[in-house]
Amino acid sequence: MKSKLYYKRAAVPYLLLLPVVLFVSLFMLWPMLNVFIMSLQNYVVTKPKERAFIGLENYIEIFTKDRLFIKGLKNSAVWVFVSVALQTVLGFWLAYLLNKKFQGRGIYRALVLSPWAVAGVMVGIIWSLILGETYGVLNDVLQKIGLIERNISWFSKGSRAMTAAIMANVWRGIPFFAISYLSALSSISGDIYESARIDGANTWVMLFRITLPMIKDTIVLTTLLRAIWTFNAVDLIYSLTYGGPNNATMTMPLYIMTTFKGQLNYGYASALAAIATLIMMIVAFIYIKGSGMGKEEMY
Amino acid sequence: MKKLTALMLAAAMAAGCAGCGSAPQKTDPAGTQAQASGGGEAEKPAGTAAGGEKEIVEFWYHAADEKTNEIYEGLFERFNSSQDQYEARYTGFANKDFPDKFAMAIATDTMPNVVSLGFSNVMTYVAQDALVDVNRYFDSWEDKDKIVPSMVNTLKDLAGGPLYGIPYNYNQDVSWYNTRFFEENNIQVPKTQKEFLALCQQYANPDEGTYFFSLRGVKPYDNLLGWLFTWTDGGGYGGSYFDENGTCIINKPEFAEALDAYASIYKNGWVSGDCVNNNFNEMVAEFGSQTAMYIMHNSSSKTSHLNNLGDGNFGVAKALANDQGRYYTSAIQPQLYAVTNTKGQDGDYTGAFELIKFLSSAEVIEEIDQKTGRIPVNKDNYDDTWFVEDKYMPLYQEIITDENFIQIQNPYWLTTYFNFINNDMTADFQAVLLGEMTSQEALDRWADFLTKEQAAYESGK
Amino acid sequence: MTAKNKRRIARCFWLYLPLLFFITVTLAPFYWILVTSLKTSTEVFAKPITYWPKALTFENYTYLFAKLGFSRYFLNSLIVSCSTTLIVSVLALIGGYAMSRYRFRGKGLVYVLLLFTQMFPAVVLMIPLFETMNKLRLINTLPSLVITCSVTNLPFCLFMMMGYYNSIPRSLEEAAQVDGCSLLGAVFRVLLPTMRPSIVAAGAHAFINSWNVFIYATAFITKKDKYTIPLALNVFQGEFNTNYSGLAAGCAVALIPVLVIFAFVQKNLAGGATSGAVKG
Repeated sequence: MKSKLYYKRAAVPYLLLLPVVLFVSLFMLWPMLNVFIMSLQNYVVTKPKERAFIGLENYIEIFTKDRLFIKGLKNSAVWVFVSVALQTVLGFWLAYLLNKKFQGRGIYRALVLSPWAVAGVMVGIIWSLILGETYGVLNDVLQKIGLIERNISWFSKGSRAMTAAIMANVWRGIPFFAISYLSALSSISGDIYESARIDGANTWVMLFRITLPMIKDTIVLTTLLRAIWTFNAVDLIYSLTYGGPNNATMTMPLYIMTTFKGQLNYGYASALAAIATLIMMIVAFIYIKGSGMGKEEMY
Repeated sequence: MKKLTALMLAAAMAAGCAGCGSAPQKTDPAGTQAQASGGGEAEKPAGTAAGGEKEIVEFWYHAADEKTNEIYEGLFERFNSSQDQYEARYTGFANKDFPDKFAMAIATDTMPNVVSLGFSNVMTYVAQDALVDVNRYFDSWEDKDKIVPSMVNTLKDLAGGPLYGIPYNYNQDVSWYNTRFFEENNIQVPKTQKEFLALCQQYANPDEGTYFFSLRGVKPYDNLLGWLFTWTDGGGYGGSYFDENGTCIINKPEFAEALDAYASIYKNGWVSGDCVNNNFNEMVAEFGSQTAMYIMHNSSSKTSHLNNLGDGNFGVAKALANDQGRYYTSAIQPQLYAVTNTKGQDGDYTGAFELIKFLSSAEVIEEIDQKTGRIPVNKDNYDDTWFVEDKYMPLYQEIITDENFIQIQNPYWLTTYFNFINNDMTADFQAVLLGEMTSQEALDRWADFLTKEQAAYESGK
Repeated sequence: MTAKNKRRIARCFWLYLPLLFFITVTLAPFYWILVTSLKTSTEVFAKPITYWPKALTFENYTYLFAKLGFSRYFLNSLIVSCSTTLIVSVLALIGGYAMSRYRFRGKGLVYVLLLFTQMFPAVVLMIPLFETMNKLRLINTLPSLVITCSVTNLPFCLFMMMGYYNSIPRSLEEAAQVDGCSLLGAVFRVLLPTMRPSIVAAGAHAFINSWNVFIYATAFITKKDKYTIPLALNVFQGEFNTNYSGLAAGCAVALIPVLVIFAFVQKNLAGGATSGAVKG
């Protein structure tokens, strides 16, 4: 017989997590379940009479006929990978700098972290005012310094439009990484560095042997979640490029959005969303396993 | 389970909000909105004070910006204080959000009572049984003859008989040009497509970053179709997309030639490279920054040019004509006030129609159109001094009665058409500009799609 | 060259130069927004481009507050963001502790479920969530946004907290428990001060995401007196009329509280908070 105290103790984590799980189930998991159900239906809003259960037909069509689906996936891969990679490196660099002592650090920190506070739609608008070929300020500046002769047109080619969108996204995303890493860096005790220095380790050794391993969990988690969010983000890219030219910046969720809002094909859009989620799940699983996250957990 | 949690939550909310929800609903003349606002649905007037129960009429405007919001709010105050039977409530949406919002309201049965709509979306909503045929209310309206008949008929034709709203204004497809530039260079405003092409070539200056024209690559449909139909003189079908057999004609060789000519403007570098991905905002910015001197859009963009260039620095001209002097545009596509289906097709919508009558009256229209530059369809407005003395209105009026003007009959009766021109057409057109697709290929795809959709529509009748 | 000079040059190269780079890249777009917001609408696109307004004007700002009632939207945004931040911080603090310090059946499942919620695009979730909110009669209320923002931000903040708990040795609260504190007492009396940077980081995350919430806001809020700032700014940009200088002013205003908050909390973000507590 296990004692009353045992059950009381065993119940503690459940009680602590109860509000979170309840909250999330009601307002996230339940709606998501609805979306999965919709994905098995022929549900085009403008054709209410044809609404019916059709099993996996939406899925079959996506995998066999839909060319934009493949294009969207490819674009998403580029968009997510390049954005997150650049943000990770630059964000870590910035956090590393911010963790040092220098004059005016307080105000510097507040200012340098501020792009994070700009809504995605706003980022799109700001950057289109900057990048516009004939009216944008960037071309004017570059011409004044003498770096370019002719205006650059950022949106005349698919690859360039993607570059522009990634640039804006990185600008906005660096602070997020910097903050995450900064609070992780600050939890590393200074003593460790001191003893390492006494042992003769230089900056690079300390970076790769001490700092990075110690905040590895933070890095893995931040990059993973950021990758998921970047994958799902539509506001910035849409307000900057509208997914064009010729769908060159049409990412997967943007495609879902146009199917959802434009064609009003809720069934098909839901199936696309479900597939996108599945793909992300697999990638996330591989990433977590591959990176060995959580191995140093202390029990 | 779900119900329980919902109850718990609702209780918590109620407790937290005890102070704010209990205030009695007084109709505040200052326009602050009543506290207890449910969804969009018509509320049972249970909470109203004993002195006469007012019917609430919810109204959604589909293309709001900060200026129109101000105008409409003032109008609604006036309507509410002019009678004591109805209380009308105004909500404005940016036009890019309205379709989502309204689609959601339909799906969740929370529609307002009256909506303002663009012509292009009407049939999408009719297909969802969201709108009410207002023929019977229109017929018994004493002022019905004041609404320009062609506009009313356009709407009836669209739905094949039923009238799903009262037209209140429309936009005229025109060209805007930079007056200072035209004067300095002593240029005549181009009248034909050929003249226009020559000017595009002559005044393209990529080194300086200035051009004659700014081409719209995203949602190009009105400009593009106007160009194609004008160039081909409608392909012999007078503005119709379909021949007598219901086959779409826009992939005939002369249309491909027309699209080649239009695409050449981009391919030859006579416009900025960004143009391929320019939407309305970017196009207007190029025109506003005087790096493009001529754009094609409709009468509604006047406010933007006024903002960016200032009064007197821009002018308006008729759309470009072909060698025969004829020009084709999508002009007669009125915006309308529609009654939503909240009580079944046979329900009593007197209150909703009262609001529409008020909003369609000449003095109300004057207030809106004078400031927004949109064109009224109430005949009384045509004699107003503001209309006659307006810089642009007389030209719009002239176009409508011009025998060289031919209306393009966009197949908005196909519920898929709106999405088609917004997404598929944009991508294919951009592909043509970028040289990733030939004009003929693009037009073939469009024609195939439309022929198929039209056949499905005919068989479903 | 003396060692001191060498070190100074190295510091310039490794610290000040990168700092300069980051601040320039960060601030240039903001400068442009500020300048644009101080121009008259005709000067925004005037050529040649002016880098400081020829005719400095505050009309865009007075327009926001006097005509459009921006103060109301500002307040609404603050209410939503502050409530969300509070809810998320508390729940994440509690839940994170359970996830970090306990081994229990179903832990993996909770983890996966929380991760799973991050993977759905908001555009698709909008409709079922709208239905739920509608059933709860929360449409056109700020609580609808508070709930949604809390739920969407909670998983990440919880993970974040979990990570920080992991990095703090157990000995801390065990010692406190030995000293006679109850478990929760020990957690909050001893761990809370050490947790400050992470609470601040998680809170900042929740605050900013809810400050910017847009897709859900367009779905749940239609009444003007319940608008948040992104919703209010949205009407500046339409097919018929785009007001760039007004938009820029709106962006600038939207940034103010966030800058203020960063200025206050940045000290808490770092500073070796744990080192003091664990020593000895």
